[in-house]
Amino acid sequence: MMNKISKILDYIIKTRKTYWFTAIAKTRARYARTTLGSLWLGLSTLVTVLCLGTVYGKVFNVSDFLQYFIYLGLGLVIWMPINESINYAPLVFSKNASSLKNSRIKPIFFVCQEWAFQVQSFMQAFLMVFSVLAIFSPILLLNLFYSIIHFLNLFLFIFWLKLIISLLGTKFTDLFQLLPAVTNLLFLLSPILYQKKNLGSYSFIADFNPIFQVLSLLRKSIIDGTLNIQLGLLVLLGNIFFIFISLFLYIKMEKKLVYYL
Amino acid sequence: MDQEIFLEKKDNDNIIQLKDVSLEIPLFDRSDFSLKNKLIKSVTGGVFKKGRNKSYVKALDSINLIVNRGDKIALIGHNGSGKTSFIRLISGIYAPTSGELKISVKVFPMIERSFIIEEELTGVDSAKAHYLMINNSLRGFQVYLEKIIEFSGLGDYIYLPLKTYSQGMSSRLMFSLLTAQNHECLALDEGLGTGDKGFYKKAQERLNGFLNNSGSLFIASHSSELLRRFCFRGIVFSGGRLIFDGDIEEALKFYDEQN
Repeated sequence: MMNKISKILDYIIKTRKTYWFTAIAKTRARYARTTLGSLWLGLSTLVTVLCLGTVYGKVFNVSDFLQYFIYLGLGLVIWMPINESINYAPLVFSKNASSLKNSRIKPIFFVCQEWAFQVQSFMQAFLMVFSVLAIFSPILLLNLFYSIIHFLNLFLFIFWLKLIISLLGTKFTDLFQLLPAVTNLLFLLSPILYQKKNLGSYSFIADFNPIFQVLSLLRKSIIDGTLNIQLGLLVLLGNIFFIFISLFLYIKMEKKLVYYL
Repeated sequence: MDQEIFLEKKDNDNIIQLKDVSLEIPLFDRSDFSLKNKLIKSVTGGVFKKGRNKSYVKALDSINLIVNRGDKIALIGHNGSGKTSFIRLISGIYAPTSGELKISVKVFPMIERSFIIEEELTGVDSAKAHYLMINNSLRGFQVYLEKIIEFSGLGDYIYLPLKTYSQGMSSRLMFSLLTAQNHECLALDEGLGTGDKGFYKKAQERLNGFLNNSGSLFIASHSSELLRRFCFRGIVFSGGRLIFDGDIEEALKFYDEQN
């Protein structure tokens, strides 16, 4: 099994330039007919932050609006790739059914392509939102250095999550219908719009929510400038473990996938 | 069937070996089996089977075959006889359900329009992705692209999204991408049939060059003329079984007699 996993990892590394390129091309194509191009990735998030921040700032009666905008802005921009990774994962293989049935390209290539697309979209949106927030709170720029391991954790997390959901979603097609409801629930139950303390006695919901843990560690490191290395390493180990689990599942299903399409 | 005699004659430098290989394609939608049964028979021609817990099409049944380096093999049979399944099997898209399959070369299939990228992207993007996939680098891509544009005859259409291409244009681009670089083994499923006459001639010339490079070739086609031109060996499929393996002329004669 380890031999097979190392072969897949080797394939992922060897084809990295191809899926990175096709992901860039996909972004370019998506915004080809717009004036601002891929700047929309960041702009749309900024508009969302402004609207939600103004409304929910009032609803939660926040005293420091700037801090709330930073909290909300970073939360939303980090939530975005997680949300899209979950919601679109079940369609990864069916969207590429023709290539999978008629060429030598391995199914995992398309998962990597989607992952690269999410990472690129996230980086563009993050840079724009972060730049605006850093104008009002320049200390954030320094804090970025504390967040490297948490960025890595976010990218690894959305990879294995996407892989597992795409495999299961191809076999169990109801998942595609179910997941948007789940992610909406997760979004509302995770302290993204509000502080964890607002959950009161229900704060354990956030503690047992792995998605929130990944999001929270990254956001906290940028806002507070705390490294949280122990937790970061723990999450990294968890991510590595789940990457192996997801690859194990992939190996089990790889040759059957084409029959589900 | 003179399969065993044929194999004895050419048992050196085997690149593909199939021993009693079968391929069953499972059907996961369990509703309305009777209608599906009819549909599958009409579309694939495979043998539909229903077990206690699963249903499947037996796309290939107990195939024994040895392919030698440099073989040019015609895949003959009516629609749904197993030709495309066979190409998918040797290309690594399908895994055999039973039997032993040994392959020592990379088989590059050309079955249908199957570009790596989405159809919103251009022909250039497609060529770039294809080139990167094979070479892991864009060094030399410009020369490659010029060759593709010239050979495919697409001209400025290469800069347009793939979704605007006609079926013939897509086939021309696909064929150009696949054959612009040397491959040890190509498997074409009616690959030359969709281009216009001018392109058909160019494609034939390119395949001639391929023949001289001693690459191995599989062509599935209903055109006897095409198969005679490029293949010296023919295998005939029927209902997922290999029913003849031998000289191309004998294979075509056998197929004609069967029908």
